[in-house]
Amino acid sequence: MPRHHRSRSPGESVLPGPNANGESLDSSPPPRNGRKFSPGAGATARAVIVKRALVVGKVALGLGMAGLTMNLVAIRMYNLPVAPNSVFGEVHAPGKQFRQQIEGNGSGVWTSNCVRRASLPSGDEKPVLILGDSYTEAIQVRDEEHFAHLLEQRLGGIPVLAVGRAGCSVADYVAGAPTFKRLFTPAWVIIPVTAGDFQADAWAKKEGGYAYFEGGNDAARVATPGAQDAAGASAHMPGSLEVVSLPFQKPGWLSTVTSEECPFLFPLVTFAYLRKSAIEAWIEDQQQPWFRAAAGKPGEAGLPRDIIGGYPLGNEMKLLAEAYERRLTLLYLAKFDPADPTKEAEIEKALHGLALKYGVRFVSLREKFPELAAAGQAPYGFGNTRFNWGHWNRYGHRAAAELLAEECQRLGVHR
Amino acid sequence: MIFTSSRYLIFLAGTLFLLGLVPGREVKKRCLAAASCFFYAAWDWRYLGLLLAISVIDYCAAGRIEASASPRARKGWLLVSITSNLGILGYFKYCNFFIENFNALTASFGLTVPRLDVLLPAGISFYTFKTMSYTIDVFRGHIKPCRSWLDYATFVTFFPELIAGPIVRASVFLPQMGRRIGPTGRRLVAGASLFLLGLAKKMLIADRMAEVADTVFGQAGAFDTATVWCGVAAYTLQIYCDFSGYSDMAIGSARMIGYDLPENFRMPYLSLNIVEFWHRWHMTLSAWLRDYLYIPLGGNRHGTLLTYRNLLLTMLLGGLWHGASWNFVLWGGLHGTALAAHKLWTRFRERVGWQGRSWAGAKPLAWLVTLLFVMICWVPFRSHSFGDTLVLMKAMVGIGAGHYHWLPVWLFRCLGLCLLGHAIGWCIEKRLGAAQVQTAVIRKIELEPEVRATRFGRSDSGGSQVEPSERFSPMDKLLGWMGVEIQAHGLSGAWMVPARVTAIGAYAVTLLVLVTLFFAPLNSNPFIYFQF
Repeated sequence: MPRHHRSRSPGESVLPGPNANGESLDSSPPPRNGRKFSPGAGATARAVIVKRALVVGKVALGLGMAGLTMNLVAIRMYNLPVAPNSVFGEVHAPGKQFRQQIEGNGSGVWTSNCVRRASLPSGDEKPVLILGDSYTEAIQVRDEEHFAHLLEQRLGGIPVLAVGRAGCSVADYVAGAPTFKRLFTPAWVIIPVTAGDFQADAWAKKEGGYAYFEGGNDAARVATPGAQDAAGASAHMPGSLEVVSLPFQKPGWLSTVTSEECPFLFPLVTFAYLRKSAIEAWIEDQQQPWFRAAAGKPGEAGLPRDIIGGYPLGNEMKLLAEAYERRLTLLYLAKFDPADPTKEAEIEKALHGLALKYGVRFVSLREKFPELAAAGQAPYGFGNTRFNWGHWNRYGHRAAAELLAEECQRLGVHR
Repeated sequence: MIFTSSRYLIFLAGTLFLLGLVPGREVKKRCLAAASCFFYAAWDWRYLGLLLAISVIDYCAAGRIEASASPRARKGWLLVSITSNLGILGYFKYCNFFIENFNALTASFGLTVPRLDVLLPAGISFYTFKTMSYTIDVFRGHIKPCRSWLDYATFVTFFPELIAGPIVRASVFLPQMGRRIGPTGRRLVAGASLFLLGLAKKMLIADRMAEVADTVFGQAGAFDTATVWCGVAAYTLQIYCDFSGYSDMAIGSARMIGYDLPENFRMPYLSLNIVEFWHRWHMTLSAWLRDYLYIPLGGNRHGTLLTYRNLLLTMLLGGLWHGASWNFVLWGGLHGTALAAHKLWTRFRERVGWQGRSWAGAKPLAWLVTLLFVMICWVPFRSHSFGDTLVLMKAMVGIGAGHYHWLPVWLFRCLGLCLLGHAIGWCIEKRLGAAQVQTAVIRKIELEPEVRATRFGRSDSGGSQVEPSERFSPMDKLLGWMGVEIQAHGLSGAWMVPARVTAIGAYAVTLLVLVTLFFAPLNSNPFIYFQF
């Protein structure tokens, strides 16, 4: 309720002054030096200080409350609880519900070791292991919409473990293979990949000291490997691959987004930073994949000469095949063109050819595109993002599950 | 240096600091003119010379018009001014359009003219209209020519409205040159609040809606009827929030400096007919077209048929002013036809004695029909080609629509925000009375040196403020509690500004900033009207 103040007529002053008869209410004589003297000067100064303090207090209260409101909104929309893990570093906190409503509307839980499901299977049956990056992590959809969950339903009970971590690429899958195999003893491995996982994502030049490939210049440089990973995952892989372990030395990226970047102080800075940096640029620029790989100079003796788009795709495919003993299916996430859903890109043809050459099974989500197009659905994008943009939605997950179920039938991995 | 960029904020803060620092009115004006030139040069320094050349031509022409005694000489100098402005505009904006059309007509004869490699200078459509209005007004005797080159250059290059309006006339701006410019507390509060409102409109709504509109208009024929309507609705919101947001930021920036710019938008989507729409939409352009095109063409003084012709011609040229494309001409033609149809309907109602009679559902129906018409007209305005326009318009009625379905959630959020904004604006308009803020007829504006403010719910107001005589409504009490006052200005319209520091006011302002930062898309689009 508004407070009611006594009305003052225009011109009426709150300060002591002459009364209606022109007599001053302040009868004390003026000081000799010409400055006004008031016996209540101390009280007036105090009143001014109190008034200013009130103004500052009101502003601070308003800022704080606004910051609190936005924090609540932000946490409601983007809450990914994390926990430390001796093998994987910072992982999604086991058993805790996550929420994410910035891209799509996802929620769910992880077990330990980054497996997205409520609990690990108890039986001795070897699981199907799905590795991957943010497409497998899939924080944009709910657990029951995730393609691993749908695939498990279609396989009649064979456990399907989805271990996805944003930012991973072929280099990470190769270097992490011994760890994955030791931890999960998979019957078969499936990895959803995009062209970028073989190209820029795997070879991004980030920081000095790490291996990188200078695309387009025919020059690969192998820097001195850094510290080895804590779990002793192989730091030197077969062939000429040099691996640099990155994640275990750096702070947990998830906790940075959810807690460190969201203090209740300085809400303006916090949210500008949270919005602009933490969610997009920070993850893009600073979150390193687990491993980086270099494969020697393309064209060197003993190295395949399949250079496509400046990247040694043949060498990468060969290393991937060897790392998983050719018990591997790549699920290629083709770009969806609404006008021509069946269109096959050159890079997809190239990867398919290399997969055949090195004994890696290869299926493309494009096979399901005509069905999706006929139903008026795009596999990527959400109502709160752009159409056909970003990560895959529930239609994409459903199509992937159907495609992989058919693949598992062909492989005999089913009940 | 777009208004939503940090570069502009730094530039604005630097300019305000400089204006507050330097002494003397003339020095301040020089600083302002220099800052404006720097602002324009930051877009493309090569065209700064063009801007200054136009200024010199019109300044000299107006002086000669005033000095010449013979009507022939006066007309001659006016012609020099108009020819220069339209010539420059035509060359830079329309030459390739005419070449393309010429080639299309003569291609069968094997005659083609190569396209010219011409870049469109930023804001050329706006500043040529501005300077032309100056010489025409001097010729008509509405204003005296500006005696000071510095004043005139400050008027032409004034950076807040240089690139995309509002189109400020010399008769509105030059009388303000006697003011003491520079930031004051009152100016900063009023200007910054309007700037923030514009920023939120642009970043929060327009940029979000751009994603939806770009998708639907970029793939004409791919989407089903519902999605196409969503795309059209998104563009309807985008263009309003983009352009009115820009105008708010321009008016706010100017107010911080110490000048008042005319209101450009007043809740146009509340219009009950197309005439009212044009009194609320891009008000400075519609007033310009009326005063310098429609009325010289004869207006409504030469009979019914010629009135319709004049309306149609004015709107066709108004459409072409927006861009060198037949799509814009079609958009203008549709609006011109609607204006003529509305006039016809009004005459019909008068004849049959329906004037003043209406039924309960008349106003909602009129609002719906007007809004739908305006939305449909945005299709050619936004489409890439006539072909796309046709495909989308057919899809809107279910003919040949694609089958992709997409329900953009943001559309409904932004729609809610826009409705809320329009509702608040409507309440303000009702509260203050239409007469107090009626500025549709810009040439009749009487410049008010002081903004008249209305505070609600508290009565400790100063002498220049107007107290509402009736009882406080709950909304008034809420505004009073928030420490907000409504400033109604004869030129810039009415808007809410913080009147005193309250916790709830600080909360609301901070929340608006945070929400804007948090929910705005990462990639900000350039303002739509920059391309015109």
